[in-house]
Amino acid sequence: MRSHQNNLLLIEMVIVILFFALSQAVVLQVFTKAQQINQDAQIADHALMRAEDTAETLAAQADTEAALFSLGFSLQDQQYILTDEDGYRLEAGIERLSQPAGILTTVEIRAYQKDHLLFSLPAVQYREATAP
Amino acid sequence: MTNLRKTGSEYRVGVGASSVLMVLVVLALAALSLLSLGSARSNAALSDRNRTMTLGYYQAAAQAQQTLAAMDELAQENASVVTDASGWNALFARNGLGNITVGEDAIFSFTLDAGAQRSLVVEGNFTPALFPRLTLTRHELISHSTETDNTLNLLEP
Repeated sequence: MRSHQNNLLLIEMVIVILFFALSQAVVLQVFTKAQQINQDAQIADHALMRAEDTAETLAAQADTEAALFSLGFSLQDQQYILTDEDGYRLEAGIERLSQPAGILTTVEIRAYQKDHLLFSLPAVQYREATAP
Repeated sequence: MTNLRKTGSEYRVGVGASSVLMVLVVLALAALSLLSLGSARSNAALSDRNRTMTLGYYQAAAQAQQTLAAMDELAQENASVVTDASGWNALFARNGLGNITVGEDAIFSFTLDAGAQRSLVVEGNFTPALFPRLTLTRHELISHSTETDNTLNLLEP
């Protein structure tokens, strides 16, 4: 009788462990996915904050290149690049349109997570030419 | 506990106790994981919305600067020819800047769509014969969204 009960208990334990392992595999996948979604959102938020900061700094300063360098960008292949340890990269491309009345400076700030484009934020500033 | 049986002076775990415990643990973990996933998804949705709103503003602001540049170029070229507000309004309309309005008080204004039921309103002084020709006095994002039916409006009778 005692031996029969022990066998039942053993079989039950084996089934419980197997089922528990199976369910934990599913639960862990769900937790991992949640963590990944949170991490991606956090990276995109940080990149957006940095891009906004860059755009506002550019709007406040006349010298675009100096402003980018002061924010930590470095010049690589005609692109100003800022790589953050959080896992995103900002690329800024400058385009200038000169006209007799003034200069229109367009800085396109692109944020990447690895090679995936997160967003592109335009920072455009028009400055009238100095008084004649 | 019914699954614990006293045999002599010691307690033994009966058949079924581990199954009950496992079911409880698995249910608890499944609930936690689903709550965690739901929270992460709503967080991501909020992040997306924030990004859309922010980019909408910056795109409108960029468009405003391009409009100012085009307006300034026309102002410089035609400062000696056009003298009154209606002349400037007609000139801007002819050159694809119909959203700009110049008033008799030498104040210009235009509005740009910033998405999510918001507009960017730009106003300033327009003095084409002087320097600076354009002086911004207002650069404001305004929202058109009104209270929804879900909002508790205490002022309404």
